[in-house]
Amino acid sequence: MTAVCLERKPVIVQELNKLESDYKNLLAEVEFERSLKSDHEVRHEKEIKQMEQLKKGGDVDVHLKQTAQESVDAWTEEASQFKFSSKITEADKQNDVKSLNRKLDKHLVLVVKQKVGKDSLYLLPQDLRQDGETLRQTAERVLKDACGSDVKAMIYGNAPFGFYKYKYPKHVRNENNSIGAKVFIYFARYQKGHLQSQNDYKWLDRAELEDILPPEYNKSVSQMLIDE
Amino acid sequence: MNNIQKVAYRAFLCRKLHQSHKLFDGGLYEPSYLEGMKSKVPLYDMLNIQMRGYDFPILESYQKFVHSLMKNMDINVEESWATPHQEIQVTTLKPKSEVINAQYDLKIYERTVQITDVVSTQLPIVLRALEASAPAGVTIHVLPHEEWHEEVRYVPDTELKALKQELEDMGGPLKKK
Repeated sequence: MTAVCLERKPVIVQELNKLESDYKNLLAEVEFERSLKSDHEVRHEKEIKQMEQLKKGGDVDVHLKQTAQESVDAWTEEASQFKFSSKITEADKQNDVKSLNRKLDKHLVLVVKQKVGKDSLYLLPQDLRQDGETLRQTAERVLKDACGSDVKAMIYGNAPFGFYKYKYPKHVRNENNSIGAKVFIYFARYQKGHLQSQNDYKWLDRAELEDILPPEYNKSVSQMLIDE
Repeated sequence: MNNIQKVAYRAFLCRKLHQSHKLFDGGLYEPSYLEGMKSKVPLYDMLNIQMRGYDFPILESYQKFVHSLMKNMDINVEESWATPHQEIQVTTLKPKSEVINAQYDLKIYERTVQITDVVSTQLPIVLRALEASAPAGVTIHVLPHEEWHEEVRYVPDTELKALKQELEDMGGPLKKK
């Protein structure tokens, strides 16, 4: 069996905690002190000297062009008028689990409702490998089936990223003559496209994934995901 | 019957010859550990990790980070270099007119790290590490190495080219008899 872990990477940087933002400011200060003067600063200093000379003696050099100070004032005004879009989107407020705009600063993993035995659980999209197909081809087929053909995703590598094995319950074992199944999980990165699926699907955060997936399954999946 | 026997005997001799080649495979002409040291999984030959960004100090420190990351993953870092920046001029115009509102000059700086002999099963892990660690404002491209990547680094000698062009216009160099 092959499963595909389709992940949408974060769009925005996560909020820095206090230590991180303090260190960042410190580094910025060090960088500023070590750096050489830029053109703008040189021009600014030159103009200050010229202004002082004007005040003392009668220097005829009148500049009608914009001084450096004036341009800085104009720029700061423009910056203050610019509105940044909010980090918390509409989908966040409504907690729409199906939308991709939710939680822009976290990884979102696709989970599809699937029938395993009698119960239907929320799992990563998976399917049986058919004869003559490599694992990677199965993964691509699973992706197409679960998401429709509109979604563009890049599967990393020909080798699976993680695996989960489980034993069938006793009555199923006798039917199929096999003890259990091994699910090889491929990793894919969502690039663009709209998802079309008949089954119920959700885009989940890491924490929510832990809640929804069955515990053993979650252990193997969480080992291959990057912590946040 | 005799013919068949002869052919069969010849075939048997040929087989022996092929077998004798195998006898010299592991150790007579070249030591066998050389063959054993080669990787059993296919390797990527040369990859360039190109990092582009508007913010200079962040880009430089990220390049340092990527270099140390590759070293820690035991990937051979061949070279790492900087390419000249690209300047972009953005002009905003006032609405419904051609009067310039503001003009911005932006520069996109670029750094490249070249890695060789990456195990093909290790590359997805490298890609994920790069994605997870990329700072805000830096775009990363991972490409196989091509000749023009090297050519781009050389600064063309404009004086020399101009002189050569002049010489060609005047009819080529003097031909000695």
